[in-house]
Amino acid sequence: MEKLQLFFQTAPVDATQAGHALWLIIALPLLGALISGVAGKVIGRANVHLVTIGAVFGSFLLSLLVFWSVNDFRASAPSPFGGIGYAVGADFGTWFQAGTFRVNFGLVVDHLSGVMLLVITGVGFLIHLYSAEYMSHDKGYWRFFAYLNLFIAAMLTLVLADSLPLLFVGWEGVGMCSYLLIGFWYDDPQKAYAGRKAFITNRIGDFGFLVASFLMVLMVESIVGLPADKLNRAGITGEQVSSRYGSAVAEKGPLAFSVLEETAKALPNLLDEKIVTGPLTGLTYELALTIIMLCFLLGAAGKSAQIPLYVWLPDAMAGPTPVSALIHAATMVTSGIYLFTRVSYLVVLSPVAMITIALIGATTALVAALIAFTQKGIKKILAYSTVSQLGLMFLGIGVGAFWAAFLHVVTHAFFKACLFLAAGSVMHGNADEEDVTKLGGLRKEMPVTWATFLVSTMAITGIVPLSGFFSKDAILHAAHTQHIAGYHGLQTLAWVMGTLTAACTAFYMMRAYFLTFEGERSKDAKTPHAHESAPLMTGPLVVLAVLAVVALVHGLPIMHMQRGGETVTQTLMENFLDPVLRTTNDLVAQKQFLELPHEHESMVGPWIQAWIIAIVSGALAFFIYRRFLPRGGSLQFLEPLRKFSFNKFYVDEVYDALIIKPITVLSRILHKVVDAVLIDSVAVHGTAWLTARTGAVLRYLQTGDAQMYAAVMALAASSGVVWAIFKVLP
Amino acid sequence: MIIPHFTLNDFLPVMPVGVLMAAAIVLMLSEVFLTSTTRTYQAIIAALASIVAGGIAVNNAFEPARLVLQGYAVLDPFSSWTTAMVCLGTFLAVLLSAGFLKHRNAERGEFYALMLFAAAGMSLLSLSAEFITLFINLEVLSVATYALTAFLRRGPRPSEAGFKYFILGAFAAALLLYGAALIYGATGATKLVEVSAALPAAFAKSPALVYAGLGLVLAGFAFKVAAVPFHMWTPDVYEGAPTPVTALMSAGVKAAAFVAMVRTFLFLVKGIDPVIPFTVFSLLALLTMVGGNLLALPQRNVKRMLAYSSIAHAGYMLLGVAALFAPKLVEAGAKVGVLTATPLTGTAQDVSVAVYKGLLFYILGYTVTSLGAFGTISALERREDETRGNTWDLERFAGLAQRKPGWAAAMALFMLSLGGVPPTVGFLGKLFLFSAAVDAGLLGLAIVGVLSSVIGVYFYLRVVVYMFMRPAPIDAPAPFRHWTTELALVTSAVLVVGLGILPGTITEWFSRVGMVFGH
Amino acid sequence: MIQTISTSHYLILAAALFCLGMLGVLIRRNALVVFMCIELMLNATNLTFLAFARERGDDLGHLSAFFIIAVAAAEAAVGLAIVISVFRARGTVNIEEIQSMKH
Repeated sequence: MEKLQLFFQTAPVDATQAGHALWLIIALPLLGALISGVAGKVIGRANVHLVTIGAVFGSFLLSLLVFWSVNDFRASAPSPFGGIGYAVGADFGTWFQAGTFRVNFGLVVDHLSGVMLLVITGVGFLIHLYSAEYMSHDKGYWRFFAYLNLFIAAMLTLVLADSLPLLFVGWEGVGMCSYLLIGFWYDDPQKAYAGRKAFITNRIGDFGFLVASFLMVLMVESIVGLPADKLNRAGITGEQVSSRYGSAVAEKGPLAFSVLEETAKALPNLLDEKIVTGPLTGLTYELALTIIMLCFLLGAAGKSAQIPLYVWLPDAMAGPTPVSALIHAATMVTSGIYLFTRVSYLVVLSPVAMITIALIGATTALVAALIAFTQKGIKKILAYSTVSQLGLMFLGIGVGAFWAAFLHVVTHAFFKACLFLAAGSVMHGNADEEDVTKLGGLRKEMPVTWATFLVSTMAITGIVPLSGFFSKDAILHAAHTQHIAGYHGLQTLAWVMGTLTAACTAFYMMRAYFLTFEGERSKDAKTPHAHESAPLMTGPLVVLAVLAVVALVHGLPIMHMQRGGETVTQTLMENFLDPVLRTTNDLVAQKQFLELPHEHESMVGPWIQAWIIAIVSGALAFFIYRRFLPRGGSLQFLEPLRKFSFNKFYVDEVYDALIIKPITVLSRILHKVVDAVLIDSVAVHGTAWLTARTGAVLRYLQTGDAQMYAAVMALAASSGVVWAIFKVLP
Repeated sequence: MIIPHFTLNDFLPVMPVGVLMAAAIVLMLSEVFLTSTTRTYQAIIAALASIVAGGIAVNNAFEPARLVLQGYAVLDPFSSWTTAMVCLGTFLAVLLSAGFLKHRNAERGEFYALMLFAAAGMSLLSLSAEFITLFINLEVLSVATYALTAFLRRGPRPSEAGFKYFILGAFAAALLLYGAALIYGATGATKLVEVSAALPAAFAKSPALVYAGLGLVLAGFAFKVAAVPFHMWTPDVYEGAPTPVTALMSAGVKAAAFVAMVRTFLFLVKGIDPVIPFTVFSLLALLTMVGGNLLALPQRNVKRMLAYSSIAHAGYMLLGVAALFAPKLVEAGAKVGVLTATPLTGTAQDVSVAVYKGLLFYILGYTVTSLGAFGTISALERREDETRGNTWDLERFAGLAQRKPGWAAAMALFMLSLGGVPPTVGFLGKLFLFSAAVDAGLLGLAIVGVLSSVIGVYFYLRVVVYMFMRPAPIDAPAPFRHWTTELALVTSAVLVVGLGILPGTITEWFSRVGMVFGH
Repeated sequence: MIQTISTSHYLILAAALFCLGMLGVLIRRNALVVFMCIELMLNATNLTFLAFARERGDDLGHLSAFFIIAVAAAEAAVGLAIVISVFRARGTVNIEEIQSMKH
């Protein structure tokens, strides 16, 4: 056993070398995208598959190697603060510099991004394989694979980045790919509309991200300007901190994660102080930090589909199913959680931000779960389920259980990707039928799809001992036992909502499962018999289902740590992320914004509770949909509720009525009042409308008459001269 | 009569021009002596000449800054880099023209010769240090571009564009020359170095004469850089000219005029109240940024939209120029305003290095982006359309992603770069200039700049939306294919992204001290 | 009896010619006349150069004038060619009819 441990902890490559090879992980899929995009039509389908799938597989192998390296206890990534343990990385020099602001092109892998790397390239590889079969009849295959590879490259950039600006490049890149892939079948106007909706909602989020980054720069610069005695902290003098910090900001730029971490270490003593320099003058550091975190929350809510920006994700299911599995379930949508885990040391310094994140997460989780109750499209159900699970992850972030949230990211990636791919397989075998009430009885006809779907359903439902149980329960347990200082009541509310969500999840997932796979085949089915999909599609399903089970290892409390003289038992994931979250844990211990439970009680009790919730709720679904309503539909007395939920709580309509409609009406009125000549598309937005109209009026100054142009020039020149002369003459 | 003693060193800065001119003459002769049916070789000769000239210019860029040719010209990195970028632009424009002209059966040696003459004029303009030299080089460049604009003799538009450009260009040149004459009268010199030495005395003696001279010279330059309100010729001429020529005008001519303007005015503001040049340039920058973007907004004609967009981009560069001329002494209690300089730190920094870097990088970025964008348009316009009105309508771009995804992707890239979206070169260019402006204390103007570029994003993205989200019309044109066009577009696209991601070494070269002679 | 003609007389004459030329560019309809007005502006500039050169007694102004004449000739050649091409395309050189591209 010890030998095995030593084997895994001794990487075959040197950490520096591994760091310098990191760019290859991004470059491979990028090259694949380039080849497929430029020459895809020429080289043919088989070669496109070879190149793109090969590129992702290559990335996966490299990621494995890098993952091995970061497990090496000798591994250390360069950092201005003396190296980051259990990480590899490299700084490839200045990316750009403007004045004192500077961004380096640096990549770094630690335990957090290492896991993400494996998930992205591993699940990405499986989904590429699956797509080869799924898209086998589509003429745009090369475009599809080019986008998919490009997405992988962008997502890898996002997790490998060692600074916020580079992360933002990946952030925008994945957004763009998502947008392109949602609208992949742009011939259909509704699908193109879904693409646009995703685009606009994400831009709102990006705005939040940019504002947050901008404010962050200001805050870092204000700390650079502080007198050294403000920066004293245990074990190190203010002068040392100040000089080291100043040179790190100059060397790495204010938005490098290593600098942000150091900022967090400096902040605890400053929180109540007022900022004295720069545009933020007058705010306390705590307030500034809270504003920054809330702006990041807006950004993360856009990307990770949280209230109020979640509306795009269900519509995003217009894209091909493998895209839904990869981008809108497993990877891209979790980047909000990744971002917060990355800057967890800042999150724990702002209780207001934490409780907001927790409440937003819990509300999103519950609302989405309630909507999922009545949806008919299998992909819609899974989409709302994704929104709901993402909400749970945000709840985890909010209550400071970063490792639990992240564990849920990983397990969710496996089982949700599996669910989506299985749903794709179902549609593939049933003439693209999406409506669960028009399926049924597929268990015998599609045995592999059935088995994998069942395993994943049980995983998401939280049946012991599947992986979803451990991750979800860890979040709920943390929500119950860890307290954000000053917000006990609200937090209990969030916990209750989270627990309700768990119950709802079991219900609606079982409903989807029963309606699709059990019972008789529906009379409305498009084809009399379904056919099982090809091995290239079922293969990834099986692998993902196995992973959905095996991932439970991470949730087992098997690691024993010596800390402060006593033995602490941690789950594998918590222990694994410990190097990443060390600063965070220190800050929690120092500031006490998060009250941790004192004694570690046995986990068995809560586990049994959670299990009972899942079983009862699932059984309820079983009775309702097997006994009373084998064909879907609803109970009579619940009809109004069903309708309310089926129409997604009318959120789209509310947005339409509250925001879009009034603007339209207003602009129509203005349009009629002034005149009705130009530009319909801009007219929806007030300012844009005014700007456009100014431009439209100005253009008529451009008469096409050369003499008039000359006259304007002569007039301008002479008035300039006259002005200057008058200025100097007494 | 003293025969001046020149060394080979003196001719170093004009060597690239020599190469361009020689190739131009060879091309003209080739039209007389060779009667081959395919004339792509002419484009190749012209392209090779611009590569060689550009190479020499890059080599020159590492020479120390000094006066050469008895003070009539300078050799400094600023002009050498400009020459190199002009050569890059000419290289791309020549490649674009090869396919464009072939499609129209209008390949002629004199077209390429004119392009090379124009490029020679641009290079010379950027290094002139004397008024008459400046005027002659300006005319070398202008006469060549007048002819190029009216080169295609089909339909009424090219000749109309040529005519307008000629009348207004000659008018502006006359203004500039009259200004030079007045300054000569006031100072007794035409070499910039001597003028600048004599200016304070002349200013004390007859301020009105000097101001009139300066104003007229500025008007001449403002015409060439298309600053509002001297911009009105731009959309008409850009629309009517053959598209590759438009591309060259938007990039090369403007770059050369900008560099010449900065160089001239660095010498001409000696002894003058610094508030006056600063206010004038700020006002021009303000009007140009806002006006260019507002005017581009309602355009459905993409070529015309790009013409206005080039005006807006001139505005961003003028912002950098305004930062260069920002007063160094600022009152402590100054308020932030649109036309004021209010340094954040309380003391005005010397931003000249940042401005030169920003200007050169912006020129480089705009050259590759604009050549790419106009190039894509040139490949899409059909010969049959020339008499129709809607050649460049947005509708023609609808569904391009479906029919020609590579072209659509490239065009989207160029649009994003024009809009200043990272990680393209357009973003970095804006970042450098805006941050230099903020460091110089031009907060209000920089904010206006950012807001106006937000307007810009709308009409650039509209093209992208049409390409990716609208169904193609039935009579949608397919781009004609010619390897030179494709080579040019791929080169531009690679540079747009490459420079946007890895600007490292180049920005380092651009920010060396001793960039501009005499500063 | 005319006294000595001073530099300022030349300058005023030149300025007047320049303004006349400019006015002509701005208001004359015929493209050829507009074109000649531009030449008038250039010649006014020449006169200014020469007047200053005479006052200072140096060669620089004379030299400049020669260069300007040469350049103006080259410009005239291209300008006339363009005007002819306009006439061929439209059958008119009336500047008010040469406005098909606008707005």
